Amino acid sequence: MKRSAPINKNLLNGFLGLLLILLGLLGMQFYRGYSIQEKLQQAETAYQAGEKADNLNNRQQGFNDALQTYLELEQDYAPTYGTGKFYYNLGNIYFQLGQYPLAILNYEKALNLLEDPSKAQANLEVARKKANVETKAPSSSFPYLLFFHNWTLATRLQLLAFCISCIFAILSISLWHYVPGLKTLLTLLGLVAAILLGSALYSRFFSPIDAIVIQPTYLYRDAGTQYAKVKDQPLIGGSKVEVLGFYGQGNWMKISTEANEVGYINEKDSRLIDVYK
Amino acid sequence: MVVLRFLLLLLISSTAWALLDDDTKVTAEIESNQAFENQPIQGTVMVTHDRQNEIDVNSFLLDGKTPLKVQHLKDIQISQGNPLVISVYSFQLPAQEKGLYVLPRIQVKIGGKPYESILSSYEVRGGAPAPTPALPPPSAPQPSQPQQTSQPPVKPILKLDAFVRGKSSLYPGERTWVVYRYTFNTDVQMRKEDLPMLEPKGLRKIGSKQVKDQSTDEINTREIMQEVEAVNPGVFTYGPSVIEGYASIGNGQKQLLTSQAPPVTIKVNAVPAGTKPKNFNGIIGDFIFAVSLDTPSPVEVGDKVKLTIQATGKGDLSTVKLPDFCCLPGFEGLFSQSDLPQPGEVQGDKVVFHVELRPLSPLIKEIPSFTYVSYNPDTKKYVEKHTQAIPLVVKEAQQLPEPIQKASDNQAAWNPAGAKPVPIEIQGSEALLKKDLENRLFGTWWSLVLIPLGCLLLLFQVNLKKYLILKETEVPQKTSLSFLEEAKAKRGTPDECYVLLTQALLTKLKEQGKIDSIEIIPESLPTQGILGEVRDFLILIEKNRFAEKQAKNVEELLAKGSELYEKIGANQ
Repeated sequence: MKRSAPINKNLLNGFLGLLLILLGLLGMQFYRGYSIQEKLQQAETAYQAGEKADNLNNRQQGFNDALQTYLELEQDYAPTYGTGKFYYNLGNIYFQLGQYPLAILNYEKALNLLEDPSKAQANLEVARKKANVETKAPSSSFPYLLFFHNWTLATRLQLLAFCISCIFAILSISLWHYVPGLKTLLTLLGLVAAILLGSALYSRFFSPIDAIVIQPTYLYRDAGTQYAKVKDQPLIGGSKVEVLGFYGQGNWMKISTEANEVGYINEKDSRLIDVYK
Repeated sequence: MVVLRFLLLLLISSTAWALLDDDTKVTAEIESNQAFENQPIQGTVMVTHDRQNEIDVNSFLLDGKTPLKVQHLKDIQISQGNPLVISVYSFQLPAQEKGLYVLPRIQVKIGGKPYESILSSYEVRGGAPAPTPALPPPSAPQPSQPQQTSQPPVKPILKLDAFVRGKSSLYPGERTWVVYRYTFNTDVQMRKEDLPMLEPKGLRKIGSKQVKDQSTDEINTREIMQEVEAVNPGVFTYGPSVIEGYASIGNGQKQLLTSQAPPVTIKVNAVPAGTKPKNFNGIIGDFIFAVSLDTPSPVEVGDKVKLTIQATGKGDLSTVKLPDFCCLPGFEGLFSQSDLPQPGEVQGDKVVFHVELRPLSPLIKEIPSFTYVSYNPDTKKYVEKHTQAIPLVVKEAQQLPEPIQKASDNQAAWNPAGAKPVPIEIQGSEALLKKDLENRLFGTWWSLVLIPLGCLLLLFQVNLKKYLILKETEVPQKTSLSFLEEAKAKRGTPDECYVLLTQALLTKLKEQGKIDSIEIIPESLPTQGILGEVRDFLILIEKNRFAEKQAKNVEELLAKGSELYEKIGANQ
């Protein structure tokens, strides 16, 4: 008995230490959550102050303050599989500061994430008008049969996770008990999961990559300013283009415009919509 | 313990910071050419302090323990409007032998707080003092006009201070002032001036040096200041700085005085390169750019449009530069700009830029918003801000130009800063929660991890099932003792009792290693020893079981069996 006492004491100390660490981590997590919420509140207050300002200077001040907080948060979080509200709000701030190309970029990101994109769609149209970018009705290249492909990628992945969980639950039940009809259900769930997985993989790896031109730029015939321009008019900031590839050590992008003109632009003049639909 | 160390560190650093921030300074020295062996040694303590902080004359201590008697000589105001005063005291040390000595720290309470001088050395020379030869004056500049005195000779003072007025920790582009201050009380002909801060290596000089003289009845000060700009990161140390000169001590005599100021360090920090935005052009601080349009709208294509851009905020105004409009989004290709650089004009706490642009297209609807990036040294982060777009109507140029309003007509110019903003054209923002900053649960590719996890779970269940089936089919391994106990319990049913008794004995033999298996017929057991005894007993049981009239009853056999059981155990 005498020999076992130190072991018990060590065990107890170890347990207490572990408990303290866990409590510390929980406390840190709680504090982090609290400070983030406070930061969000601060950004919202600044944005509202900008909206309610009675002169341009105060408006600029409010929106700039909100933007600063959002950009800091974007560095830490970048929720590319999130709810999309963050990018919608960021688009609004850029819009209010007159940065229409950047507003369009963030609205496009939000559209790929929001469950209900009606507000973002409406604001995007206003921003496109402001930027003198031709407004095109959003069209889906998928027929009604592939309706699920219009869901956000995050939603499809969530449904896929649900199907996978159900499949394994059914397999587990059928391993222990015989329940009539389970096989049919399993086949159906497997089919749905395969469709969702295929759809998600297509979105991520095979769908066209889009970008937004953030500053006016000319479209060249090849990767370099020494080549002739495809047309005399520059691409307007805010235009949406499809990226066909990267050239010149990644400094040039081969793109296709909405008018199906193909050419090269400098990579720094555009930003990828790196949120997948 | 760690917390304690942290608190201690915090305390030390805050105290150090508080002391660094204080202008109060104590210096003590003994002129080596006035200290002679076997004679009392005269010294001077100079205290630079705020006029409001009184010096406790009785608090002077030598090396923190020996009270030091001092005599107040004078107070010197550094400059008009400056609250700092230099108080000069003399003291006397006992006579010492010839040699080199260290003057201990002298402590004094100023405004209730203790301060102390730094250690310095002095030499006690041998022999009596000789009159100082009147050396010819060198060609070096004289700090001041001589004081005309016909009074008895005073003790000459020449002191050099070197310091940075402003920040000594800078970022590239920031500016500060380096200062040398001479303090003297008589005419001094300078022989040597080694002032490395006036030609600072690693920093860029801005303009020429400035000299400012102040004098009172008894003390003169001269400040030589040079504005410098940080260029490249690094730590730059200048000094020690030294001056030497011949001081008039009356009756046409001169005395060589030397003063040395400790080295001064200026640190130039590098801005973080990793997170540096592409459009960062060196602005250090946190500024707000306000743009106002000085030209009335509408204008025609090609007309001059004047903008005033004011930068206000916290930071070094000298670092504020305008971005290059020719390459800004919304300006490129739509506005032309003069190729001449547009330096800002510092007006108090703001920098003002005047920019002239010419619109090139009637499609222009506004002076676009532009982005400016600064590095905030307080938060150690880059700050990206945007100006407000200003509506502008641009018309096609007329063939016959209409009379144009004067652009500089300030009454007609529209200042958008105070104008009422246009109504918001878009739908409002959403209230965000922390979850909106994070990816959705199972909404990322990590949800595919469920597949291998599920497979592992299934595999586990398959194995578990196999194990349970095996467990069910397995006959429980009973011990010989449990067979014996069971046999005793079944004495009411002799047949079962005999079978169990037989199993108890055979199992016991197996447990003892005397047989390999209990699946054995009693007749095949050896006839000798304990095995022979068991053999005979088992045959007896069998005979008894199948006999018409049992020769022995159950109790007898049970007793015999138990005895044999014990015997097997004892007969190892």
